[in-house]
Amino acid sequence: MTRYIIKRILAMIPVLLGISFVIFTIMSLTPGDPALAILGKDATPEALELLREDMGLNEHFLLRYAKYMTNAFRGDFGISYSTRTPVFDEVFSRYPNTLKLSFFSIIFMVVLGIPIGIVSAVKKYSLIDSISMIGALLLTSIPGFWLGLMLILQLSLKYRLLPAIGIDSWKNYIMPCITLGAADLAILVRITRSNMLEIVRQDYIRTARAKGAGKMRVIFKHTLRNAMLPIVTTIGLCFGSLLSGAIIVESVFGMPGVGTMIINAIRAKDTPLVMASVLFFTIIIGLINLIVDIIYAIIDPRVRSSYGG
Amino acid sequence: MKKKILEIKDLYVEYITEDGIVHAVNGLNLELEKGQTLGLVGETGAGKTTTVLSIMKLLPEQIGRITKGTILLDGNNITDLRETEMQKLRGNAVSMIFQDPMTSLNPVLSVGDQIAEVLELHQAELGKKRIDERVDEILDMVGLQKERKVEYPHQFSGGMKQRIVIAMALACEPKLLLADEPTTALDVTIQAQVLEMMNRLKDTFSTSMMLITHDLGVVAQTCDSVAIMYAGRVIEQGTLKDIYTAGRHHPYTIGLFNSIPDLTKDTKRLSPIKGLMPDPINLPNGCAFHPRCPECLDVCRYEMPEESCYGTHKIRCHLYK
Ligand SMILES: Nc1ncnc2c1ncn2[C@@H]1O[C@H](COP(=O)(O)OP(=O)(O)OP(=O)(O)O)[C@@H](O)[C@H]1O
Ligand SMILES: [Mg+2]
Repeated sequence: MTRYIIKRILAMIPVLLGISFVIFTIMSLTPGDPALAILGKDATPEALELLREDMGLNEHFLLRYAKYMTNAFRGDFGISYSTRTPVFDEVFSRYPNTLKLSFFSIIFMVVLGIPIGIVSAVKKYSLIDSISMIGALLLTSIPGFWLGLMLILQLSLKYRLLPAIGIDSWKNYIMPCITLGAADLAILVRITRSNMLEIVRQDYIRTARAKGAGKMRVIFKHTLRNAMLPIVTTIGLCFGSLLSGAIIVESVFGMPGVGTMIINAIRAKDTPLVMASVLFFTIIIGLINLIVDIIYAIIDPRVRSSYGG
Repeated sequence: MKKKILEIKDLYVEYITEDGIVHAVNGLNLELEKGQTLGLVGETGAGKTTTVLSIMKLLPEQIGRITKGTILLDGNNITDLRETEMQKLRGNAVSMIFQDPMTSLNPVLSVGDQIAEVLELHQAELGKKRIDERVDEILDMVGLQKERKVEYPHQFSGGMKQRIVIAMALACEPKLLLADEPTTALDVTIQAQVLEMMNRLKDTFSTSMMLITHDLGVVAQTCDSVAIMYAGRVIEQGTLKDIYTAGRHHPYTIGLFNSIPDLTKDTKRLSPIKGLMPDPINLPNGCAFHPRCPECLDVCRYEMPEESCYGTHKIRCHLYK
């Protein structure tokens, strides 16, 4: 198992190299001049040329990439073109906010989605099942930003229950989490329901009932555990979409996360900031996938033996 | 007269499907004496599995239901028992072994835990430690090493899995064991071993057994009595001797015996029964076998024959009155 984890972490290196190269290429090939962005429209051509030389922008693109990667490997992610502060500090002051938002959204999804899915499956075709299926359909069809704005309108402006913007207290996270998690919550409810229904039809569930197991035991001990695999996969996949969804939600709720930072950095052609943000993003997704696979192994002994010991 | 462990009287079971109502069991009568083994034989679709699922009350919810009849287990009527009452009986007084060992074990629980679960459900008073020892003993009885109880189903072969299923079914020493084609999915050599083991264990625990099979050879080796089923009814029933010796037989029974190779006779070819099982949604009037029967009489087309008794031997056919 440990060997498997180490292997997986090492396998992330080529992925990181590939992604960094693609992003670096895009940033270099798209039009726009960082020197111009820093000095403004009124700068003299001499000043611009001097700054370009200074920032190493005149060197060959491959050389610049190589230099960037060597520095990054040593932990030096450069200075942001636009804010003139070290990229590392900038990224690390904002990532925790975004991660917190995504993590709370996941918890919101899991705590609501799995139980609703289970109840729907157990009470198939009942009123409660119909309500949750219609609810799920609605949630998937509503655009996230619209839901966010409606929540602000109702809960903040009209009833003054929750703060509309900022990150000062846990209350600030409630509406963003609902906005961000809504669509994925709907997916999770459906996946849980359909997998529970699929597993209930399996022969070993009949065996469990033939042993004299009661309804609750059959649902939780025998069915849910087997239905968990696709559910865990879905949650892992949702984390990726949550991180990207966070970009919109952060701007709706005025939260200082990576989302707003990446958008501004791209506008300003702030290559070091964009690169570092994307690389962290990749690492986080990679780690989440690894965690999902480890949870797989914990749930399913067949997966465990395929990892070797 | 000997005590009966199981008595089924006039049982009707139907499945509600999109195409119509499937009449899977239609007035079935069946008796099993204590300590004996009854072989339940019949073509595919005859309603054998449905019969045992009815005894366990494990018919698919909302689709299958018992519409008429009584089932007595050890003299007690279990037909109208509530689900919670049934749960106390299942795995305890009456156990079932399913057809396919490959899919009957839960893939995410260790086999030891799965065997222990039956004991936890019905003999919780034993305590954790004693249950653990019992699991070791039972594994030993079915010929598996007790060290392997921490392993998971995918680490065992088909024959071993069926041994585990049998261990689970016998853990609480049930009065009645319902075995639905327990060896069909296994290799021929393993089949014999597993059957021999089931027979031995059944005697150790003085359990009565109902064995469903297609194999008349297996019946001859393991059963005390035989019931032959056709379209949801028992059409002939008797001791092994009644059924296997020449004399009065239902034409369907004769057909069944003619369709298996007989090594003692020099027959050139097998003669399978002509035609197909009737559609259980639209059963023919009269005797359900009459469209395929070589000795069909006029009366067979509109009147269901009564059961004629010759001592232990019972036949449902108009030829015998
Ligand atoms: N869940 C179900 N829904 C609808 N019809 C069913 C269902 N289960 C069984 N049947 C029908 O009931 C009839 C009896 O089926 P059953 O499984 O009892 O046969 P069987 O004698 O066990 O056959 P086999 O030897 O193939 O196992 C068949 O016509 C079958 O199509
Ligand atoms: Mg069957």
